[in-house]
Amino acid sequence: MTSAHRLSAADLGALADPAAMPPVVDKLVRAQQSKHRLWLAAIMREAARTAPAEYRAVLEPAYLRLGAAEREDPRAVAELIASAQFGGWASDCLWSLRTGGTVPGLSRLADYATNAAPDPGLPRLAVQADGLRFEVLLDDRDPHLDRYGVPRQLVTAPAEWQDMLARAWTVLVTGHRETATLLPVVISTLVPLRRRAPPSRPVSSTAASCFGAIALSLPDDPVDMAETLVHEFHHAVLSAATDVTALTHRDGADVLTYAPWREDPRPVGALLQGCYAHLGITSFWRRQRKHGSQADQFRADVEFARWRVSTARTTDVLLAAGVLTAAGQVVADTLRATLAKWLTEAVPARALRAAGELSLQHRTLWMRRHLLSIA
Amino acid sequence: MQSPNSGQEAGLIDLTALSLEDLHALDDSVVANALRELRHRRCEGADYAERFSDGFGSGI
Repeated sequence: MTSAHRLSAADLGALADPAAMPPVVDKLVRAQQSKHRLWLAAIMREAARTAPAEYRAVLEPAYLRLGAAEREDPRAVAELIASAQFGGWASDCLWSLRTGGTVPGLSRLADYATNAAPDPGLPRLAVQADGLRFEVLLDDRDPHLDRYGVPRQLVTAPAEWQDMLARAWTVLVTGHRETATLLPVVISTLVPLRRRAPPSRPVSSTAASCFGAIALSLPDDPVDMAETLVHEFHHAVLSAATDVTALTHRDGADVLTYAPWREDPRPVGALLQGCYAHLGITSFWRRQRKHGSQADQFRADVEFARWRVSTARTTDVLLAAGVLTAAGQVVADTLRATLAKWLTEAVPARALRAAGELSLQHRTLWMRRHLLSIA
Repeated sequence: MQSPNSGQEAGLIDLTALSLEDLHALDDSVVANALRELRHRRCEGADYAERFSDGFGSGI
């Protein structure tokens, strides 16, 4: 009889508070390890049934070798199976086996058994600030991490990424230490993306099947990179929570609506992810208001003022939509309560005006583009 | 506060303590059920989930 990963109401409530998050994040990391093991178990069974020749020739011998490697070094194999690269591989294989498509990369399991690591040749970025260390792989080549809807950027100068990450890490450790403590627990890989053009726009993304990887284009400055890391970290955390407990119902969740962070109409069931990520963004700018030049602080004031209102309003839409499970309701209620406190905090009038104009401009443009098409 | 897991939510099966050998020996029905529940929690198969796809993007 096996046990299960579960999240209590207290765990779900803690997701809105970085100071209370460490034990919950540990739970989620362990749950993702189980998910990857589950996928591996499912691949073996599905392949034996639907692709018996490949199973006997490729998968079974590789699995036995991986088992032998595990007996020799259980920690290395556990880390391999937990990796974002393994998650991407397992997800792709399982999808292909279940949908009857061609199954690319089954032999990858043999490489994993040989190396007990995602790809030993990948560049590794390591940064440190005030006693906190952050180390990630920079993965521009794993085919199973090419899944973010934007082409990857081949990295010819890892030093650029190293330098930007070092400066972003200093921003995070200096102003956001509680969150900075959690990032190395979750993020182990950065996937470089090309910018969207024209005009050149930064992009970032997180995939549910690749827990531990964050995809992003090289940001313009370290504060932008710090914000992106916080943003995508929140997506990764809530996605991992969704694997443990359902947060939305199916019924009604596909009704399209406005999301202040997107240019396209979004299913209302997807708003929780955006609200949670933007709670992280709002929290980031709230703290960032105390750092940098006068211009930096004005930008932080504007971002804080904009996102606290937009995220609170969107959370209200989500709460009224009737698509949340009991667990989803706990998360949304906690977000809303945190935002309610932040809405009472003083912000300079000029920043408030700018934030209001930006929000209005976004909504007006969105309505011109989409209101007729979804009415 | 009432636990959101107090109803029919079974949580995600904990396989972290199992060796690969143990994992291979699991009953097929245990794996199939756990996988089905995982897909259900993510609302896979629902229009909403298909639109949402695998990722959560910014600027994409």
